[in-house]
Amino acid sequence: MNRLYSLALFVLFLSAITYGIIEWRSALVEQQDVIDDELSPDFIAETLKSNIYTDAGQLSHTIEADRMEHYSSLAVTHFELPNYTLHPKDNSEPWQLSANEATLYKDNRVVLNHRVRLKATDINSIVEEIHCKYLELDLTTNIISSEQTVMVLGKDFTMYGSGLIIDLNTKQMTLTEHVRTIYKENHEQSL
Amino acid sequence: AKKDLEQEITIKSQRQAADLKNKIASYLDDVKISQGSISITADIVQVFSDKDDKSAKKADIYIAKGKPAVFQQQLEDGSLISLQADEIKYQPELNTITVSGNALVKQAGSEVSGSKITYNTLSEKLEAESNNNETVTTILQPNVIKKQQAKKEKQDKEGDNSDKQ
Repeated sequence: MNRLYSLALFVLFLSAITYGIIEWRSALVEQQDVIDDELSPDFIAETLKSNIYTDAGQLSHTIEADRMEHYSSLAVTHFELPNYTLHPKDNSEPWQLSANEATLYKDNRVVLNHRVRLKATDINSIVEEIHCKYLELDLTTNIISSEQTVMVLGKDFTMYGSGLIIDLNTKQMTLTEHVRTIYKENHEQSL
Repeated sequence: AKKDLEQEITIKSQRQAADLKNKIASYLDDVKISQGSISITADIVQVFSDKDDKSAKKADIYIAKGKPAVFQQQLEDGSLISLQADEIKYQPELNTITVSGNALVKQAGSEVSGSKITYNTLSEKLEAESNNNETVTTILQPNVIKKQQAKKEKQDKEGDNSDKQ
């Protein structure tokens, strides 16, 4: 009896293994197709330049980029060497925001990465440039923030810190973690 | 001392907030300003960047507030002067420090208090004034009095020799 019994067991075991292998191989193949779909952008633009207006017809911002890829299934747009010109609501001088790359998400939020530079075009602004590696921009509220370390270059000072929040409309800036600010001595004065 | 005034001013604090429209940078939570041997400690420091209309040179004003805010500097002769008050106003371009609100100056053991004291960080001269009903009190320690008399005698002697030449 037990020979038949062990034979049955062996057959059962064998079939379980073959089933497992077939299942495993087919799962692998399927995944392959899913990844391919996401990577190919729906449309690409080279040396892009576009102006975006608010509902009231006011110029909100312009974006120039070497290359833009749009993935409509994910509602994500990726930019290479983007250069934003951001116009505050009160029509004061705009700010230039550039980086090596940026990703625009559907809720009008942009994440900029690598060599991020925010520059004031207003020559009298006490803050001239902000340098950092990572920065988030909310295009609807014109609020720029970064958890990473930032360096703020002013007319006569250099500021180091992190936790930057700057609102281009109200012109308020805060660093929740301030490390140090160095005010350069006014050289002509001491000559 | 003089060399302090050509140094950079460094401000350390936990938080920072700037009002770009009115050009005011505020530094909050145990703020420390240092410039050479000059040091100011306060709870909040506001820096007003503006230009001197005549010379169009920058004329920043640093306002430090604390309970109290304390200013310290090492003088040319190496001794330490410290000014403390509710508010300290420092104008680097004019080399003046104005302290007001329970203002108290301590130097080599002597003390001067009044409602408002101005001090020139270059000439190291001090001017204390008080509102009408309050008095300016100056407490000189014995050795300071001796030093002043010695200085006076030295000046008289120089006065005599210069007459003789």
